Amino acid sequence: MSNHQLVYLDPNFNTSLQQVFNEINGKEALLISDNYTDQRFIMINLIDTEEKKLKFEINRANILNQGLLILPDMVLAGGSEVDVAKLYKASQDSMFLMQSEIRKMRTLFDSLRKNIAKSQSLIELQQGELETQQLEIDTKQQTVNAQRLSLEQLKSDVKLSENILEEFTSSLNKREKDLEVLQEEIAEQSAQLNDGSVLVQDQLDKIKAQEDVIAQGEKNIDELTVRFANQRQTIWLLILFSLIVLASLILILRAYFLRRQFVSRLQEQKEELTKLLAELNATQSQLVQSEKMASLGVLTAGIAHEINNAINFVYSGIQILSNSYSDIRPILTNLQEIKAKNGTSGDLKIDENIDLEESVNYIDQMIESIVIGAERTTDIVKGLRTFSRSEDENQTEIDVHEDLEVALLLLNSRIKNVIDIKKGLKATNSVVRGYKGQLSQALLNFISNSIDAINERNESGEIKITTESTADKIKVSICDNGGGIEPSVLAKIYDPFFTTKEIGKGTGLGLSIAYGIIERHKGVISVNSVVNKGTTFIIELPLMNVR
Amino acid sequence: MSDNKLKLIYVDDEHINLLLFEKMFRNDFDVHTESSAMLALDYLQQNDVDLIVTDQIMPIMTGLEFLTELQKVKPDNQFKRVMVSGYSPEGPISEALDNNLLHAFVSKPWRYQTLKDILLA
Repeated sequence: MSNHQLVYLDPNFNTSLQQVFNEINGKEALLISDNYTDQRFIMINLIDTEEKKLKFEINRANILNQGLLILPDMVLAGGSEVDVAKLYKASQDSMFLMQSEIRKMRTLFDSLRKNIAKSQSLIELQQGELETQQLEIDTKQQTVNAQRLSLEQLKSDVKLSENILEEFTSSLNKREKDLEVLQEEIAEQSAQLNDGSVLVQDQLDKIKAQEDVIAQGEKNIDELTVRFANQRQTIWLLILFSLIVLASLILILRAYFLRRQFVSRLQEQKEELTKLLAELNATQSQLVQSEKMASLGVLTAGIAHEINNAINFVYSGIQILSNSYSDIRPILTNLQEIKAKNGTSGDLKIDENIDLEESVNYIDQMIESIVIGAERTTDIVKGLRTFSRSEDENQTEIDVHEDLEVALLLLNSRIKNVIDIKKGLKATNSVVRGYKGQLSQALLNFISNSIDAINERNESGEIKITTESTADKIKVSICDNGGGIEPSVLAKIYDPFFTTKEIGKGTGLGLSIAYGIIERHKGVISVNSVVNKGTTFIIELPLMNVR
Repeated sequence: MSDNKLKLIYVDDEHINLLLFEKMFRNDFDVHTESSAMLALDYLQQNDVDLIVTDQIMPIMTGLEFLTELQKVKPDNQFKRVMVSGYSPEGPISEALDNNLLHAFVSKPWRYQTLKDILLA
């Protein structure tokens, strides 16, 4: 029990009970309060009664909790037990009661509030009505005021009228008197009237004079009218004149503009004519070229036939000669041997100066040369034949792209490693109508020419082959970076047998043949060449699907 | 020997060609030559041959006209008809080849072996 404490709380410190609890800090203590209001917190609460008798309350729950006993003596000494549970329940009950009371009050308040709002709106309504009524009252007041005013006016008017009446009566009286005076005056005046008639006559005369003046004025007006009419005519004439001037001005302007238009049109026509002339010149030169080619074609065809016959003599002849010589040759060899053995040809009487062996060798060489010559001639004539081929052959569909590929394939051995071929075959339509094989031949000749041009420079080069198509044409462009063509030579490149190559390297027919073929396909060739830069051949051919 | 050789007629207005042909093929064929189509027609009316070799361009009658005429005169002939010409085988010649009026075409100048092979084919 040494740790147990007894704490007495003076009534003045009842408010600091919580602080005391903290101080106790859970230690067992007997807390005695004096006149503390909240019975829930008490252990033993001392209460002063009215009879000056000490009473105390003991919290049963706390007592039981702490295992304390309340002796009957203590109760007899004036104490009473407080059951906190009961107290709690009682307070809870009263709280619920209060809450329900509050709720009831709240609903009451709500309904009251509503009523207030209602009456407020009613009041507002009534106020509005009141205002309108006030307004009405105001207006009525105003009318009443106005009426009062008018009444006063009327009253004053009446007074005024009465005054006037009085005045009137007085003036009437005065007038009666005046009348009498007047009557007298009239008599006086009738006398004067006679004098007046004379005056009237006078005035009549005056009027007449004025009439004359008026007549004069009228005459003046007539004159003025005539003058006015004259002036109107002049104005009309003026208007007419200005209209004529305007019209002629417009006409002049129009003529000027027309002239200007005419001049510009003339200029345009002139330009067009110049262009046409240039085109005509180009066409003419093309025509001359094609005419030249056509006549050359006919000529070469004839020549080809003749040469073929003549060369047949040589070619067949040399074959026969060669055969015949083969027959004789052993005899000659024998003779040679006999001559060598005997030192003389004996009875055969061969010139001692003749070297039979040498002659035999010569003959062999000559036969060979003649065969080569005849074969070369045959090749030339074959080329000429291609150049001058007639148009009797049937035309078929030809794909230019395919023919280009064929030409490149055939030229492959000449192209490889040295020349870079760049292809850009962009034409969407590449089908033309023509002679099978021929177009390929022509393209091959062009490309072959480009290869030769590059080889002449002894360095590697490139050939760009591109195509593009328009609505009715395909354009094939073959562009090399070879030696180029001298301008003086350019006009002759299509002439048969014209060549700048070494003897035996070209027949001079490649481009002629190509030209002939393109011509036969109704195509056009143009060439751009810059010396030491290269040459571009552009071949335009009409497409098949457009006629 | 002569009996085994095929009979051949060669028609050409060039006498040198006739001479050359005869010399070249005398060991291979029994060669008869004529310098015009008319003479050849006359000959063929009297004689039969195995082969006819003709030039195309000749005065008065061309090789094709000669063959056409021959077909009229001897419709049932079994002659092998070959043309040798300085022209290229185009137009009427290629037509003739197509419709069997002509069996073969050899361009001038001919090569002995080539022509012989064609004639014997």
